[in-house]
Amino acid sequence: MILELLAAAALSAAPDGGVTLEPVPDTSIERYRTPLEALTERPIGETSRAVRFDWRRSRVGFGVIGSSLLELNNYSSARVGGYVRKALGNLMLDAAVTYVFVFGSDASNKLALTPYRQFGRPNRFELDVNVGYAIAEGVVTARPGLVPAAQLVLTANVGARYLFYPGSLAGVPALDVVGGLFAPRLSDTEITNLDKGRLPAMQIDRARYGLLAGFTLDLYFQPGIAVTPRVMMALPVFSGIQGAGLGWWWELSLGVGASL
Amino acid sequence: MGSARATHRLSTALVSALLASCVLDPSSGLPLGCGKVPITDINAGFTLSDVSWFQDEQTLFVFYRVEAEQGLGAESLIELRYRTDDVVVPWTELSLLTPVHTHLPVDCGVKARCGSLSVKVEKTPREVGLRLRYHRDGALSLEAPVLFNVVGLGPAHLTRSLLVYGVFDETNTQVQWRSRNQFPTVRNEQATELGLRRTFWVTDATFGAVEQPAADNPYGYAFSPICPLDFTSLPWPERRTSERALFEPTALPLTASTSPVVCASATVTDALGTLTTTALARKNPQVRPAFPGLRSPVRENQPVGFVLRVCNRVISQEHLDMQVQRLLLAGEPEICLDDFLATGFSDRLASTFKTRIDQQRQAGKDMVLVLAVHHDDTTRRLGAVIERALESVLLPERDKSSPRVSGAFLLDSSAYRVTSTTLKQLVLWCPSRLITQFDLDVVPAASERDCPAVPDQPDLVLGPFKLNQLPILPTRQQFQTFIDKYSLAQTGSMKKLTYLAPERSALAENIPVGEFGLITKFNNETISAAPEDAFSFCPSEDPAPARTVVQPVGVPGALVPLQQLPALHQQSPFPLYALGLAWESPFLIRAEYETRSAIAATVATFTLPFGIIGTDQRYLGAEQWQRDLFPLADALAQCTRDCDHPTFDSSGVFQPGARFREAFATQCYRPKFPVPNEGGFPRDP
Repeated sequence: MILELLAAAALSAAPDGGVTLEPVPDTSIERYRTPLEALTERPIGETSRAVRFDWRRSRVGFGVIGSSLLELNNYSSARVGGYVRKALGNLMLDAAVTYVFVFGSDASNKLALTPYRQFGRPNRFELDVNVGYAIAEGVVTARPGLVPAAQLVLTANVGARYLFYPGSLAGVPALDVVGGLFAPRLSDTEITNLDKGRLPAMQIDRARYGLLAGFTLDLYFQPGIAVTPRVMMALPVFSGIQGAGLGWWWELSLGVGASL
Repeated sequence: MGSARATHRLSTALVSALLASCVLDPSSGLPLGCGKVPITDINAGFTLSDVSWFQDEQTLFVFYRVEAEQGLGAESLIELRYRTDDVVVPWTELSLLTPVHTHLPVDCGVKARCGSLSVKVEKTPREVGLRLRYHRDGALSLEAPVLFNVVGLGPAHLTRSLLVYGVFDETNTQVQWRSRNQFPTVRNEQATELGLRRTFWVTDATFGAVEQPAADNPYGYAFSPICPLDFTSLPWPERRTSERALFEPTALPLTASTSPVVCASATVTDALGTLTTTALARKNPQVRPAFPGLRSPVRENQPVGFVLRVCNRVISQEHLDMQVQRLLLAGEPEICLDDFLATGFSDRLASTFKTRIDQQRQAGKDMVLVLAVHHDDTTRRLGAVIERALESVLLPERDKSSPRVSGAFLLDSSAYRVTSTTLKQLVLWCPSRLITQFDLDVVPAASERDCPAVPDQPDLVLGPFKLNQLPILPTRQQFQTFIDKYSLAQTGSMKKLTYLAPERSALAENIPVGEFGLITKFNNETISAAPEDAFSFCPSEDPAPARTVVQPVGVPGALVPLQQLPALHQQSPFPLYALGLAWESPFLIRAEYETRSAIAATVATFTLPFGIIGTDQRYLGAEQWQRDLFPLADALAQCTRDCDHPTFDSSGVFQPGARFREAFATQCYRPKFPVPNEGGFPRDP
């Protein structure tokens, strides 16, 4: 269409300035005429980019995780570690190994001056095994705009946690170590060993296992970057068996990783 | 449906557990599980807070132990305060006080703090206090209820906090010097456990004899300022230790074998310096088994059999055959009982027995008279006649040396009870009539116990089957009843009879005891004892010591059980005691026989008897004759030297107040002596 208009303009003006025969306007194409502004507003091509990430088809995921424990006592706990996970249909299985740093507080230091103690847990390793079920998912647009759109998955989780205190089994006969590793509650020997390095005013919680439940929000960015905030609550179902002193407590964690 | 119900139950249980955790805290039982973690009291308390001041040593000893439900940290402190006429010591951490003695740190576990301290205090302290400060930076504390003692001046063995004494090893040649903490309320080992270590050293050892120390000084510590001058010196160097015991590596010389004690100079430390005085080591009582054991060879005896029967008529041929078979008397001589009421029958019977016995005696073996008595006399007069005959034969034989007749074994046609007291010791009369009225005061003779007439057993009826078994030594009535039901073939049979009896030496002596027993002194077995000797009897499960009696030689009739020998010798010592063995039956019969569990099956009116064959073995008579050695070594110990010295008990604890003569007369003497290289902290509570 543009080429035709340019050709018509060239025929209307002779180069030598002579009279030229007025051409008869051909209006046969008028009905095809379109203003330039309109032309510029029209799309001149199409392209597309995928924003949805199919996490169900990923082979494996991995990443690092950091947590803060809200144990409702006078001690602060932070966890750092790594995780791996694997999707099985609508289920997401993950396992994590973390180390927990426990800090005292001014309150616990002052409590140590008194004949009172409070349940807490010393530095330790934790092994988590969780299973999640996707209950909502979809593509979302992120703000600010430079953040690409992402696939969001909300998962309900339940998991088990095993606590290992380094050095707690020192002096335990070799034959008793295996039994000691898996007993539901810490033995007196373990308490004795841990007591040497506990924080002031801490009464060591004897529970070795934990049952947790909560929710995970997975944000998948192409080509598989995953940002995973999670909130879990400890369910003191087996507290009586384990002699646990801690009741309900919370954990907030954030994981960053990739899914392949 | 089932899985849904299970899931529902599981869910309900989980929710219940969650709610319960919210209501009750598992550790404290408080409803705090849903909220903040509670703080809990550690419930600290002193379980030991004893303080003693020794005036002679000018030393204040502190022992403490404080426990809590939860850990007491390293920041927890124990503090002491006191005041005297000269000084006021405010609350002061124990570690800041200068100790007089060595006090090791003690690990009492995470739930306790314990330890000890000794400080120099010149004058009697007052207002002594002990407390736990929960944290060195805190002001909260827990004051202890102090047990405070003041030990004044007096003899060293009563007023010093440390005694030194010596003990010997098992060979009585090596001395172990020991120290012993002596506090009013804290025991010796407890003081050690609380970290107290006392240094002592021993020099100038000598040996000799000395009187027993006073009763209030059982260890003999400081019995004299110096060792007796007539003692012989030992070339032992000074020995020093901060443990509680130290073995002198050098053994006593042979020249000290008869010396009962070793004396040495022992030095201990205190706040003023040192104290040197005497320490005494007394040898252990020299003890040996009083007698190793009574040995009386048990030999197999030769049966001398007779069949005593009514000859002029047949009572029951089956029964007679059974009696002959049971006693294995086939071919043995028969004696007719038809005229047993005639005058002199018992004498003739005895004469027949004696004649044959004398013939058999030439074989050189002891004998047992074995009689089958087949009769139907219900007046028991025949039994009396046979008893008279047996008395005539057996009583002279009883006291003879081997070869002799040990006794008699009879199988009667009916149950009978021997009336002759002396014969009860020598005859096994089967079956024996049961004692109809049970009387605890009446002890049946051996034959009555071993060979009672067994009451008829009722048949066990199972449908058309009846089951029963005939006793191996039945009465004629039992036998007849049985064969009527089950046939003669099911009565069983005797396979072997073995007669065992002890061999009697020419020196053997029998002493009747009571109605049923005899004591035999076999071969002049004696125990010789000096007047100062002492005995110890140890009861045991072995019946041999209980069957052994002693008789002071030259004192007839003075028979006492072996267990009373220690008391007898202590009250009236004799130089020689004869040993004898009590028995109730002169021989032992081992019967091996075939039994038949008889079964009779009745179908319509036809009865078919059959049986199940088994073998059995039974002992009749005195089972003590199964062996010929009756060990006494463990039962009776004899002390021959230093019997008034204290000694060790079986746990290895030295008992200074338990002298062998008094303490072990009726107790087992099984001491555990110290041995070198077993450590410096012997058991000494």
